[in-house]
Amino acid sequence: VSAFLVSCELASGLGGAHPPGLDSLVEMRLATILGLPKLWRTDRLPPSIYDTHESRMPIDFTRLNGWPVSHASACIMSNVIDDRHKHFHRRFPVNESANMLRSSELSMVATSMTWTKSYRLPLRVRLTGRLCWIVNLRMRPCDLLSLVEGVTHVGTKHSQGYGAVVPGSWRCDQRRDLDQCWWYAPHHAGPVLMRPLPVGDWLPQNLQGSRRDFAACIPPYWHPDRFTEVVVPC
Amino acid sequence: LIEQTGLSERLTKPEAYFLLRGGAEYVGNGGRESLQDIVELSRVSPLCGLLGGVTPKQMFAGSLSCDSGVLVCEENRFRLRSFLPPGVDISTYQLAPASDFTTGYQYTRSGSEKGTAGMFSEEEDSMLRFKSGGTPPGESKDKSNQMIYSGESIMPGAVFVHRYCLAHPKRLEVGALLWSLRLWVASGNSFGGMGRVGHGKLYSQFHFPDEYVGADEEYVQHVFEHIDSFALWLRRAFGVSEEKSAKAAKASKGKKTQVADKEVPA
Repeated sequence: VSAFLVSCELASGLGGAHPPGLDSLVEMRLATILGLPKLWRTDRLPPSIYDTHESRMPIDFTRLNGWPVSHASACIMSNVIDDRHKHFHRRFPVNESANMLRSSELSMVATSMTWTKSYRLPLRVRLTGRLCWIVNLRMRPCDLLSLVEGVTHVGTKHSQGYGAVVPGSWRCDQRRDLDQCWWYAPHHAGPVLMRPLPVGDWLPQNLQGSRRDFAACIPPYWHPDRFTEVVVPC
Repeated sequence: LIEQTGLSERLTKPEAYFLLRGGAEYVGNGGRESLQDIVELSRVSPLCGLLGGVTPKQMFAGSLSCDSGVLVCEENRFRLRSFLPPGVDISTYQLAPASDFTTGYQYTRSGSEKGTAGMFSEEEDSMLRFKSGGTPPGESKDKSNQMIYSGESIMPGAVFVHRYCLAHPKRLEVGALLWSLRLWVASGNSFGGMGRVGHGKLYSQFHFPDEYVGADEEYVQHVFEHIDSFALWLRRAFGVSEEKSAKAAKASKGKKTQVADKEVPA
């Protein structure tokens, strides 16, 4: 097991408030390759990929409170040049559909309520050049790269072009000085948290840069069935 | 597509929302997703498989990621290698900065009197204005209401690169994209604002892998072969809305009757 710095370059702004975890990207790619069904928020959640296809995951892991927490730090962004809110919209096509509807449907359309409601929602977009993660690998770096090279977009709203990864920009460099940095960064005041971890005795008393939350510590981070008591970097 | 399936002037509002803007989910399926519907939709309509959509009961993911257009300029040199077609190398080209491609426009909106000489009597017009609270006739001339407005635009000759990424697409989905682009080019090939006065006209070139040559014609053929199946799928997927609307109509009828019954004694 050795520490690596995995990075990729971005060609467009990163959409969404939460940058992606490398473990979730790898798990998503493995799910695609293995033909696992796509998850929806309402689905019953299958067990972690470490429980079903452990031998295929190149990232090392530790079980904490029963959760197989992978040895991958949260996403570290390079200098953010621009941090702003863009918007995405939706509106019922009143003008376009008027001549296509049956006569009984030619009624008033409520644009401020119900399912025909129009909206204009904000989306946080950060312009940054490079994303990186510190990971402990238990396989060869090329095994990880072969998986992540298929990732063309990261973050949310990639259907609108946000988070495009520069093709061929994925890199995996060995860094012996970052051995335990997947979960903490050394600091004179105490270890600084680098990824979400479940709350327990293993957390040092002088942990820095963390706050308590009710969230997920393993992918998929968005699924409510994964939520538990955790500490997250802040 | 709507005309070919014979659904024009026969659509319900949810169906029109789905076909024109992707739709909205408002019934739900009790936390269940129909895999059969997903397979069936991508079979009968590769375009829906490409773009995705929402029926009242279920969401369907599309395979298309549509990047924003990137201006070919010095500032974007680093980003361009992600968006240019394979084999195109711009490293030896000298590119101009983005500011070189921006320019301005200025237009005026004419006053209502301009060009209307002889079309009305000036005396009658000034009397009418006076009666409606304006200045007395001959006292002062009305100010011109001509409005000058200006804006920023991109110079002709600027080049944009626009990439479409399809995740694990079927050949017919690529065909649907190529056919849609072809229709877009045929329908004006313009983008951005002020299109009504001729701004944003494009000259478009499309680069795609050789293996997809002819995929657009295959898509059109597939659409014609599956027109009835698509119309049937649509009716089945949106059947709930009709039942619901019938129920709602019944319920509202009942409510009205109750109110009427109460009102009669009063």
